[in-house]
Amino acid sequence: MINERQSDEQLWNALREGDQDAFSALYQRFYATLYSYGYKVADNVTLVEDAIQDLFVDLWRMRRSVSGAESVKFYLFRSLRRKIHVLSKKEDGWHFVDTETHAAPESYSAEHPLMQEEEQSQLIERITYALEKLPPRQQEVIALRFYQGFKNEEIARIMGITEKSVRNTLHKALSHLREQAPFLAPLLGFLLWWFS
Amino acid sequence: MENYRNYTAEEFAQDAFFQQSVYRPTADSDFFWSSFLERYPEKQPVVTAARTFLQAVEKGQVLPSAEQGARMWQGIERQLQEPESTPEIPESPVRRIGLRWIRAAAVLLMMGFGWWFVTKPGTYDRSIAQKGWSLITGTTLEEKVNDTTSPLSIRLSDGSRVVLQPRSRIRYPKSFDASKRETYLEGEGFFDVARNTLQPFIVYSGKVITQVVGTSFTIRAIPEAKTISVAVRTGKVAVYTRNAAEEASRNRLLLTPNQQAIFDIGSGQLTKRLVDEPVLVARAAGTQSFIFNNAPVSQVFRKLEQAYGVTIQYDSTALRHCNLTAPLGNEPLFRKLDIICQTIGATYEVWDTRIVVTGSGCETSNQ
Repeated sequence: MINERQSDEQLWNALREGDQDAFSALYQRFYATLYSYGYKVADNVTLVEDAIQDLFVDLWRMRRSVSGAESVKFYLFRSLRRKIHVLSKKEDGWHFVDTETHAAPESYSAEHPLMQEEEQSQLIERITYALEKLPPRQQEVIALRFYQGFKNEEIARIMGITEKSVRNTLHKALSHLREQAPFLAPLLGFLLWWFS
Repeated sequence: MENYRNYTAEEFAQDAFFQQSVYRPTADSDFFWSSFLERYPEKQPVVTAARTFLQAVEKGQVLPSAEQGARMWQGIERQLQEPESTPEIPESPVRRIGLRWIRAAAVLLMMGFGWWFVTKPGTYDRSIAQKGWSLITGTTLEEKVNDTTSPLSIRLSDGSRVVLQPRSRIRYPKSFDASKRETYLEGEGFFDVARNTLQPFIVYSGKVITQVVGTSFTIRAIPEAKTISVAVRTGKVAVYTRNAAEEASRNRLLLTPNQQAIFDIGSGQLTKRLVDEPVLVARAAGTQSFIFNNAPVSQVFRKLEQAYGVTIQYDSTALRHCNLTAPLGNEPLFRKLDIICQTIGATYEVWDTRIVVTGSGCETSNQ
């Protein structure tokens, strides 16, 4: 909403002037959504928590030098992803999930055709299940696009890839979904239109 | 609204306002989409498909618990206290931030009903939610108990007014939080809420949660009674149950004036119907004339629909020759309908929130 957006910027400007209320309000507003994104990037609770803390500690310490952000949320997401990258390199025996290698997802049985009277919640359950079977990177793009509401161009800048590969990843994700969950085809058909 | 008319499901799923309406619905956004679908019922399948997909995406999100949120904040405080950072920070700022955090935590916990709780019920401590923020913050809520035999009028800090019926109790903070106005009701109260779209007004009464931005309504949540009711006088009201927050399909009712939500405690069902005595809706009151002189019934019904904010359904073809001459006045809506139906030889029934008039029609000579 417009008001929310204005508020983000107001908080951001107040933070740059050293307003602690604004600082804690920004944390309060964003930590949960940052966490949910962080968890898509790195499936490691401690690492995500550390990255969020570092992000906010830096934000306060460097509040005077941070620039005016055109989108506070975008700035925070991009910074968090970088933090996770940096921390994951330091950590031993843990690997950034940034690879396309992924166990072959088991197909959700197509023997349960979607019944007319089937509960909406069961349908949601099935799509969620199918989404969880996607490679991590595809899940990340889906989350940024459909949950966090970023545009392809912003996603590209957050992840440090080209817009074209954002589009490709999204396309792969949705094709994957269609293969893994044939019963979803009628629903997902529409999602594939925009690539054709 | 026009813009959305030609949207495909995928365009809906990508639309910022649509996403917000799914993830962080407000009474206003709910009303927007329900009236959109009323106007363009053919969009139902695409809207449902888009919503289902988004809900699945939402379900796959892992959100932190309140404890994790507090723990991370403590970590931030601790790191900011380290000596190298002191030149940047005025004296004991962290302590002050710490206190603010407590307030922040309270807001987050209560917001839970809005979307957090809905998103991730598993991580949410329900017992804390039910006791409200006083438990978390140590802030004591103001409490008013009406143990007299007449109604008690209470003015809240935001300008809203509550008329508390005998043997009823309300709790509220001395000054409301910046993002929400929250009150807790036991018994019966009439609320006249000062409008503020940025600070929704929420009433918790037993298992029922009522959310508005500015409106008036009555809540009846008598301890030991079998039902809890929320009846709307003016404005728009969203009512949902605590349990609804756990279900994927959120059980949320949207009420307009003269509608009420009835929550059956035994079955856990929340249903919507007309109030027993519909009154003139506020903006129409005072300027109403119900004197009809050989007026077509379609016109009479339209007049009543506008005056009382109700929906009247009838077979317009069957009743096309029915005209009415009647000087109606202050009698209640249902009395007016009795008179009208008698005159045109019809009957009416109330179905949920609709009034359905059936009649075989009038002879053309009636004109």
